[in-house]
Amino acid sequence: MVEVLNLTKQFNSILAVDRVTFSCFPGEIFGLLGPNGAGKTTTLRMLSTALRPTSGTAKVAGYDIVREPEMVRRNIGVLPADPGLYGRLTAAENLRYFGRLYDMEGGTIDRRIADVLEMLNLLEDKDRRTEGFSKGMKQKVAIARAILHDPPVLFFDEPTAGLDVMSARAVHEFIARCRDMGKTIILSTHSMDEAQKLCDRIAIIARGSIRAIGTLDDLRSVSRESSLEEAFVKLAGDHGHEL
Amino acid sequence: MSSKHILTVWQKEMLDTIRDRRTLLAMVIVPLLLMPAITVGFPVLMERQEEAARRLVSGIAVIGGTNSSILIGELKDSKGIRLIEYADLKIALQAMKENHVQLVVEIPEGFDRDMASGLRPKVNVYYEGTRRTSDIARGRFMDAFSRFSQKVVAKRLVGMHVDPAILVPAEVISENIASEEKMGGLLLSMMLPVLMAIWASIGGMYTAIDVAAGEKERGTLESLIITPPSRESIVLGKFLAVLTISGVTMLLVVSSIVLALRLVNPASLLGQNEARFVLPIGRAAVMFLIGLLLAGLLGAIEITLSIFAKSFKEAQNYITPLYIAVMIPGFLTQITSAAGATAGPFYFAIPVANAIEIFRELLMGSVNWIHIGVAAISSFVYALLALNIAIRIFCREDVIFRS
Repeated sequence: MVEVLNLTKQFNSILAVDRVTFSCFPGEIFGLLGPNGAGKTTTLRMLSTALRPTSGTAKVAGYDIVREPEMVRRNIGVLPADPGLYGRLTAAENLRYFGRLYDMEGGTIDRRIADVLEMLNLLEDKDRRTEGFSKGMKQKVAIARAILHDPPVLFFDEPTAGLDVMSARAVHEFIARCRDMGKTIILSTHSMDEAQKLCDRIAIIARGSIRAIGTLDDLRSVSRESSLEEAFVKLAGDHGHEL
Repeated sequence: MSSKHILTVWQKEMLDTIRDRRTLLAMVIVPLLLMPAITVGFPVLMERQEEAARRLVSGIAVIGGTNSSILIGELKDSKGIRLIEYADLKIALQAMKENHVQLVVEIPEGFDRDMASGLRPKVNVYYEGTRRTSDIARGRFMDAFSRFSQKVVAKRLVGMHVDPAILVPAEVISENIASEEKMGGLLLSMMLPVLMAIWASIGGMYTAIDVAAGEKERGTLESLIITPPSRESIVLGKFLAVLTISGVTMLLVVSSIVLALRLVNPASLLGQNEARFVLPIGRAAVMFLIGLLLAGLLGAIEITLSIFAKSFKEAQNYITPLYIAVMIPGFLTQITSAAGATAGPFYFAIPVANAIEIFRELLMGSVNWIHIGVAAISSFVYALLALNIAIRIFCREDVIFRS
């Protein structure tokens, strides 16, 4: 469960995120849909405690992001906007490092690595250095890293940006499976297709503030447009709608 | 802060850095090859150069040789001097410029006659101050000239029925009491301390760049800082990895110096058995500890700069001037010690310069525990301060997400 209340971030004179409020429930994929620079990444960075909010707060898995950041970090898995790997380490070594940082036990780590890489069809490559991996494979290792410690809450920031169709499809299937396992998932994207395909509810975000929240049908009906794209253009440009 | 997290970060960084060829090159191979070569080779090379210069017979161009048969006679009798008659000063000077002769002597007309009548005729001597061989030629000429003067004066005194011994009222007997070791150490202490300080900064440099700026460049930093460990634990783990690598470098540097001196005595290569350079294990250990503290300070500064930088390249740009900065106190130490200045205890609280001065003292065979204590404690405090700054910078989101 994630409850965001009036979350605000100011960088010098720029208001990057302005009083964002929403909730996301277990077994739900919540989409943050908006153009580049809308404040999606900044919102996710505040929720993952990488950035401190200027005002407002959020509860992630029952913990306050400002007062209990370490507990929040233990309960989230994040695929950041720029998910890099240590190229000189193998896929398994990359994952083992993070397992230890999450205080997992040695035997548990190895079992989890095998399970997660199996799920992502990457088990065969586990002992290869990641510097030779394709972008799709790297993304899979980064996803494995995010879910290794089996967190109840997952944040995916543009999870398929720059991937080919097949890799993107595999990532989508994986995210859907996480929802079926009851995870609370927040996904940021600028792709209408992705939002439409995966998200149970969508928040349209532009210039740091949420313009509309609802299911796909809600958004279409409030905007009186039949396609999400048209609805998005209308709502992102508008001043905001309560649903 | 958790020791388990620090250990985890340290282990990962060690694995990562050991797989990086650049680190191995800077850390192991270069110091292992270079330091013994300099330790043994540098004194030998310097001695050889000096020997060669001394063995060379000094060519002295003489203008107006016929003007003084007495002086020419004395020069001809001197060892290591070869006289060449020149008619023109300009041509002689040109010959010296081209190193055909090492000195030009101009004897004016009527020299012997003027001298006999009590006038004080002048001999002009031209030399090339930048050339060691010219310097030696001048020394040889001056020796011959002084013998010539003594003979002339003695002759005059005898003519006046005075014993020439009156000119020598007393004698000086001087003896060099510096130990052979100290004499040997003097040569080494000119170069090794600065080089050791430079290695203290280079050893862990790539690791420092890799563990902070490298994480930003690869995009791994964000994933790392949203894991449970505190920022302190992460920075400490990374710092310890840098310190380990530069510590290994210091260990290799010191032991390669000790070994090189055990295996080859530079003095014996030159056939001078009296000078023996040794670095006993005890002094080498103190040298290593001081080196490690210096590496700690430099490593913490390097990590701070690396955290601040956006990319590997930017970090390199910030860190490269650091070892030039290390060289400045190094050369300062050389100048002050050459001038014979004795450093007070406060001098040993100056970062970097203190370590270099301790290295120098140890190589010269002196162990001053007050100096070592002040240097060790102050270096430790500076390293802690620098590390504290590194941690603070690592907590700043505008630095972490600088782009």
